[in-house]
Amino acid sequence: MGASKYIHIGRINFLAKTAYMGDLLLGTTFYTLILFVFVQLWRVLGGPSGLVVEGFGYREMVWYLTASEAIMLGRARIQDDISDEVKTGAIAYSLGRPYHYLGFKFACYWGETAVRMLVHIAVGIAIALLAVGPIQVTAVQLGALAVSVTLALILNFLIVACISLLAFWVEDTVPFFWIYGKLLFVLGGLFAPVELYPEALARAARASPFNYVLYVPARMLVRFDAAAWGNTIAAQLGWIAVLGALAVGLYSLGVRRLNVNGG
Amino acid sequence: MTAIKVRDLVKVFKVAHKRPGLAGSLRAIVRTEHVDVRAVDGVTFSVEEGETVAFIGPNGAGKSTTIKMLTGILYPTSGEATVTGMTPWKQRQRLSRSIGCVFGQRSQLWYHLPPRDTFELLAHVYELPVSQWKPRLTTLADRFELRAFMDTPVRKLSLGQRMRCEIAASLLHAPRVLFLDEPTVGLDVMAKRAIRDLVLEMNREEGVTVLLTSHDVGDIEQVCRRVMVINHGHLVLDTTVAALRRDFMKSKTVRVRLDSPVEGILNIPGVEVLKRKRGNLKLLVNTATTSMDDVLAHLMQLGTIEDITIADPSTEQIIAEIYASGR
Amino acid sequence: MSTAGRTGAVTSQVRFVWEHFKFNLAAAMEYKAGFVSQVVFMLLNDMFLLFFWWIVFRRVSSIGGWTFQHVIAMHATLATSFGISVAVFGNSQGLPRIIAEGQLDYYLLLPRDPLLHVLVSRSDISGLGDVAFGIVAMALLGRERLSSLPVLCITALAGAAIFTSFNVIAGTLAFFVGHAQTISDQVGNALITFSTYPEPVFKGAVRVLLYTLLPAGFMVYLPVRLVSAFDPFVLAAILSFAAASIAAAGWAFRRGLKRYESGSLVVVRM
Repeated sequence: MGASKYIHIGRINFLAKTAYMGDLLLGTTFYTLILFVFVQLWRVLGGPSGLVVEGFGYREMVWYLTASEAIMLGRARIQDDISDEVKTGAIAYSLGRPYHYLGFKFACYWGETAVRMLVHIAVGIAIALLAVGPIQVTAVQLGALAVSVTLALILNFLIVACISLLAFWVEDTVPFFWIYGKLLFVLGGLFAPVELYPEALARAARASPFNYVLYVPARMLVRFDAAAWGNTIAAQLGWIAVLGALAVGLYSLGVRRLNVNGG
Repeated sequence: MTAIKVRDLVKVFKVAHKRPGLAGSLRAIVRTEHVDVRAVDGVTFSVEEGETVAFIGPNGAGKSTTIKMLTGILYPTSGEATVTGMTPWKQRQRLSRSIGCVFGQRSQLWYHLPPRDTFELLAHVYELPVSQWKPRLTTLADRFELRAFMDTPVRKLSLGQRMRCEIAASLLHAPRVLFLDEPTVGLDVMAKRAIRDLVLEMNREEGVTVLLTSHDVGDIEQVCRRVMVINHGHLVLDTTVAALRRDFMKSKTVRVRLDSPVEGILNIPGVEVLKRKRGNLKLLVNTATTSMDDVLAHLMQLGTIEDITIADPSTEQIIAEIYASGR
Repeated sequence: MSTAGRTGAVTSQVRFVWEHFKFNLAAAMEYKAGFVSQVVFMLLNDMFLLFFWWIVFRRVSSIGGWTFQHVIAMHATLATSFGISVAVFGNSQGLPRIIAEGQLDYYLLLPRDPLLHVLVSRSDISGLGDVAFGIVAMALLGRERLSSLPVLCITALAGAAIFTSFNVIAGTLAFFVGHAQTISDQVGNALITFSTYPEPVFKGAVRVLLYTLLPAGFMVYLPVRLVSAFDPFVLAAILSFAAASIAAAGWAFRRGLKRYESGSLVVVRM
């Protein structure tokens, strides 16, 4: 079966990344710092300022942020490689290889993301437990959450791949990633659940794919809704189908363009 | 007048020893183990104004480290040096106005801008008055034949054109001493020749002292009159290029292709056959006993010469010769 | 040195910085589309930063005494300082790599202060987008705050000096330990992060830290205080801290330079 080679590629990347554990751990200081700042912020906002988000207490808020930031910072960075390979024309070499370029990148992405997520989840749990103590979750809920987080990270891969492939047509894709980052921040609900948003904005956020990258899994951790789980997962899969088709389409168009221009 | 004076110059690098793996990295954060490497180990020499000196030696012998100390980039561990009367590591900024440097592997040109812009910027950096640098740039542009691409972005220039710009840039402020580190590396024969001629011309016309390092014996022979050989941080030879040629460059390698296969035994006095395959020959010629004319005459008797190259020994071979001679 | 001589030297340094900025700009202009998109998208990017606070301040009126106005002033100051720093002194964040790879050689061969020279030799064009955002944000503060505009400009310049010096000091670690880019990136991120939250959020030891080792206090909190109420002593404190930072950065760099190894530092794996 063709999948085994991709699993192998992913495994190699996983092992390669664990070799840089020192740098990786040093890198989590930023995650620690962000969580620390947020604990301080919500202590003030939830206490003296009296800000209440429907259904989220101070403890839920901190756990929500722990989850959303873990996904935000646990994502492997693949955009630089893809954009570079498109710009330099190196992507043409992959045409002669026995795998699909996007499949190869997907395997690399997961190899690195797996390491990063494990480290961030471990650090995040430790900090949240220290700061606000545990929240109620069952093993079944954690399993259901794992599915959603996995789909969220797949969705992120596809969005990043689409933007990176724009390098076939635009000089510099970096500015688009600034904007993607901020869309995750606003519509994805990085710093606050959309329950805090005004009605119209919350509706817009829920209708966007970005919401399914951060908000949906992070909220699942703190407010699990068994009845809605199936629908949520279906929606994530729907977005994956749409963006997957878009990524494959952009890739085929781009490669055709490459052939016309001779690389 | 003495341009460069060096006494007992020593540079010791502390090299970190790191154990492999994560444990090694963590250990290194807490306590790093060091090993001393004596890159330059007691070098003494002096260079008179207007001299052209080659500084040769294998990789890691200490030539770059010496040049970096003489230009003020590195602080020495001990020893003394003056360049145009100044101590480089103490009077670096003042010294930089009287020396020019070209480091073959590192460009000072702005990649995306035309050379003219770099020249103008350098004029600002050196705070040269317009009345001084404008005519100077005109002279250099003429002499180095830069006019045709003065306004073309550097990224579109050939390597040879770039190197001509590099050297012109290092001469804009009319330095008294020029340091060249591998100035012809990667260039084709014509470009190498142009660079050598220009350096020599600047030496003759402006009396610029030249200190150059190179792997290319051609650079040394055609530009320099004196040569210093450094190995393992020590100066092992300081002599004239003529003496170097006489004593240590006794052989040349000749590769020749004849139109017909060579038959029988080849017996030319002073010539050793290194390789032969049908009409192709590789010969080692002892130039002390045999002239190249004789060798060519012999070869022409064997058949028509289709192709021939004559190569000097490499610096590595010369150094091996020096050691073999017992110096 | 005589006063006239010193003034001449300062003028010459300012000119030097300006010439390099112009050159960097010209080099960036070679790719016009990239230039424009960097500036415009960074401006947009920064606008989003205000979004979260806008949401929060719809529900609360103040955070420990800070209003939305304070937060806007904070982001305006930070973006302008940061933007000036990366656009004019674009190499400050990359110093550890430059030192470790021996790229200082070039600057050491020229008759200028090598620290200033290396800093101005690169320009991050997106910084102009940050500065543009800073100006827009200042305008958002409204007409009643117009009087504080000159103060904001001065403090933004001081902030740029503090931020640049901070990066330089963190970067000079590379002279002593070789590989220092990751750690200097982390402390740089920490300074920026603290500079994007209202001061009252932090208490005790952290507050002390923010007025010493991670000087977000001098970079943004004190300037924000000046916007609500001008106080010459606070302004003097900011300017003194900026001057001290520059001096400390210069001292640290000169100390480190004696240990510079010009790329000869090799880590031997055993």
